Formats: sequence, structure tokens, C-alpha cells
Amino acid sequence: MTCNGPEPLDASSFFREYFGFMPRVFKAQSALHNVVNAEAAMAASILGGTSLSQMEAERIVLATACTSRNVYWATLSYQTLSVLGVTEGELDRIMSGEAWPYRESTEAALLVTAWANFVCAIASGLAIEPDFDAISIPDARPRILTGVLSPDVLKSRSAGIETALRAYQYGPPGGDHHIIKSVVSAALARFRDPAKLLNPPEPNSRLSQKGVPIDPDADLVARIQRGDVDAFEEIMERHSRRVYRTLVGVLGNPEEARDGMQDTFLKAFQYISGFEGRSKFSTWLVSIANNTGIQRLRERCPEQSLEPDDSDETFRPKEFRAWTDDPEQLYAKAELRALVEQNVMKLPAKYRVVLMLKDIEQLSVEEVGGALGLGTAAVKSRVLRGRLMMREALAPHFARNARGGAA
Amino acid sequence: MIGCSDFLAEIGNLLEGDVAAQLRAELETHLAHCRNCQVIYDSARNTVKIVTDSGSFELPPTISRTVSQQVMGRIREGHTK
Repeated sequence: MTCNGPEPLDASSFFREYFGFMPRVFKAQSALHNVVNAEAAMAASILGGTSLSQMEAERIVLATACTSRNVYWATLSYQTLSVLGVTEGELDRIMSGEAWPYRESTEAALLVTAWANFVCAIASGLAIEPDFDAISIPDARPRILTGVLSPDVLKSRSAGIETALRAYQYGPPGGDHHIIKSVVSAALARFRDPAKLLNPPEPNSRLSQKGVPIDPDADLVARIQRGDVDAFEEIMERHSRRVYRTLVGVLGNPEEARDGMQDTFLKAFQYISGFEGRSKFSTWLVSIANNTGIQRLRERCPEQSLEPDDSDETFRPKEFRAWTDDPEQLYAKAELRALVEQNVMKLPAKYRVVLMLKDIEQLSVEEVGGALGLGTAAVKSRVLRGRLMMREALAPHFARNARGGAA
Repeated sequence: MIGCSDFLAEIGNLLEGDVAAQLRAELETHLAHCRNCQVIYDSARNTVKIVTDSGSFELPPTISRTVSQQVMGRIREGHTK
């Protein structure tokens, strides 16, 4: 798709192929064939042009539709995912917010989230009945990706819609066509305005019957939300080290981590008015730091991924030398610190960040999972892998030699 | 009878003290007869202690103050985006 207009695309064929049939929401706009073609071109570009599979994209659509309580798209994506083989249990977990719909914050996932917001707005505006028996959306707030897409990316993706709308001005006037055009324009405006995407999601945001977690920052956050800007300085004093460590964990570079701290705190201040206390504030802050780090990583190294590598499944210990009885006594504190820092930095990022938060920052498994968007099993698995890798790396320094002393 | 791969599958929970009593007893029986697993377990425990106690990745107060001043400066000027 270019900014001069959408490439020729048969919208009807595209939607039939993607969904297996022509959904009502697109059929209803068929009088505006240029607009529907443009939507299809945009869908093909966003849904077909990224590394995400259809299943991954639809998971994001389902979570987004539930977050905005859009029954039409929740029903459609639910059905699509069922056909693709996703179990009812997993679908319920996505809808209730117990499962993250995506593996990590990538630009592709962000674009699909934006696309999902866009199509939800169109469906609401058209008041379309679902194509299947409507599913019921649970009360819990599902987790969706948020973040700011670069304006250039948004602009290039929406060029097809703009071109179609401009072309339509020369087409036939009257009746429902104007209403549809207004809906599409409004949806496009929302799609293009990053500020209108939801605020960063709060981890563990499922509504709990047991009450809110006890948060030592609650009073301070409330003061800031009431306009006491100076109180934010206290927040930074309390959490700078944790934010720094999270960024070191993701980026593997202390200098870059320090640069990222400013971005993280500014983003937190920007969105703090939307923080509702469903998780601890510090957990929310760490999730912002994590996302900030990942974004910087993407800018630095687009090919690098925090995705678990399947080959790591077969990690086997290689060091079987016993360690000396009191290894911490072998080195001065400063030397131990340097040893740990050097070897933590050598860990793959996906293990380094969880080890940093779990063992160095001493967060609970739940807090780490909530901040990083990982389930409990994933946190435990990555922590263990990080610890075993550290063990291998430290062994040469602490292994007992044949003479009974340190190696 | 617990083998080495079973032990390794549970080592994460064992390090966290999150193992049911009966399973713990079986794992300890395995450790008593398996030198390699004993070494891995002991050195893994030591690793966690060393990493936790190391005081690594402290943020120098000067850096923390600088970041705070820069952020508060931008907030007060209204330039937060």
C-alpha cells in the first residue's frame, strides 16, 4: 500500500479468505466500495504484513474487543479463534484478562491493537448485529497492548482510508452513505490519535473480589492525581533503583538504562491519572520500564527478540564440580559484585530481566509476572534458567579444586 | 523412583521451598544417592545467595538526582510528551 492510494484488492475475496465468509460489518459498507477496499487493504497490510500469525492477531482483537466491550468483534474473533483450534478455556482466559493475548510488545502487536480499536469503532458506529450468537463479555478487564505508535507509521497505514474517503467525495451523495462516512472518519481520527488508545494496562487487572492489593504508594499516587506534581519527586526517589534495574535487565547496558529512566518516569507521569490501583503502583511502573526498554531494544536491534528460543528447552548443566563450602568468603564484596554484574550482563535478555527482578530486586513471582506480562509458569521457568546459567558461569570461580581449596 | 531429570524438573520449586512434603522426601532420597544432582543443587542455592547478597546494579545517588531533576524540570515546564 502506498501513500498514493491502495493497491488494487478485491475486498470481498480478502475478507472471505481471512474469515471464511463476508462479515456483516464489511457487508454493511459495501455501498462505499472504495472505503471497504481501503479497509481491506489496511487489514491486509497490518494483519498480513507482520510476523504475527492469524491466531496471534485474532487473540489481540479478542482482548481489545472485550476491553472496549464490543460484542460484535468479540464474537467474531472468538469464532475465528475457535475455528483455528483455540480451546474454550484459553479463550475465556484471554477475555477475562488472565492471559495476555500476545507474547511481547512489538510494533506488529501494537499495530494490530490499533487495527482492532479501529474496527471496533466502526462496528459500534454501525450498530451491527454479530454474525454468530453473541458471546457474553466478562466483567474483568482484559489485557491489551498499549503504547504510542509513531505518527509516520499510523499515517502510512491509514493512507488507504484517507484516499478512499477523498475519492468518495466525488461519488453519489445521500442517505446512509453520509453516516457511514462519518463513522469511518471518526474511527480513523481515533486510530490516528495515539492519545486516544487506552492507557498502559495495569498488571493483574482482573477485578478481585478479595479487595485491592495493599500499596505503600497509594497515598502518594492519590496526591499526584489531585495535582500535587511535586509528590512525583518522592515516587522517583522510592523507585529509581527498581526502574534502573529493570532497564538494565532488558537492555543489558547501564548507560542506556540510565537514559531510559527519564522516558519511563515521564511516561508514568503522563498516564498516572488513569492508574486505578488494581495492581501495586510499583508493578505498573516496572511494566512501563519494561516496555520502554523493549522499545529501545527494537530501535537498536530490530531482529533481536525476547521470545523464548525452543532450543533452550534442552539446556543441560555442564558443571559438576563441587563448590567450596563458603563461596562468598572467597572474594571481597566489591569483587563479588563485579563478578555477579559481569555474568548477569552476559545472560540472554529474557532470563536477565526476570533474574534481575526476582533475585536482585526481590520481587515475588506474581509481581514479576504482572510487570512483564508473563504467567507464573513462565516466570518460574525463566528464573530457573537464569539461575542455572549463572551457576555455570560462576562455577570456575567457586569450584573446589583437587587440593580442597578454591579453583 | 525419582531420576535425575525428574529432580531437575523440580529443582526450581525446591530452591523456592515450594515442594510438598512427600515429594521433598523423595527428592532428598535422590540427592543422597546422586552426587551430580547434589552438586547442582548446592551450587544453585549458593548462586541464588551470591546474586541476592551481592548488592549488584546499585544506582549511584548522583545519577538518581540528575534523572529526578531532569524529569521534574520537564514536568514543571509542561513538557512531558
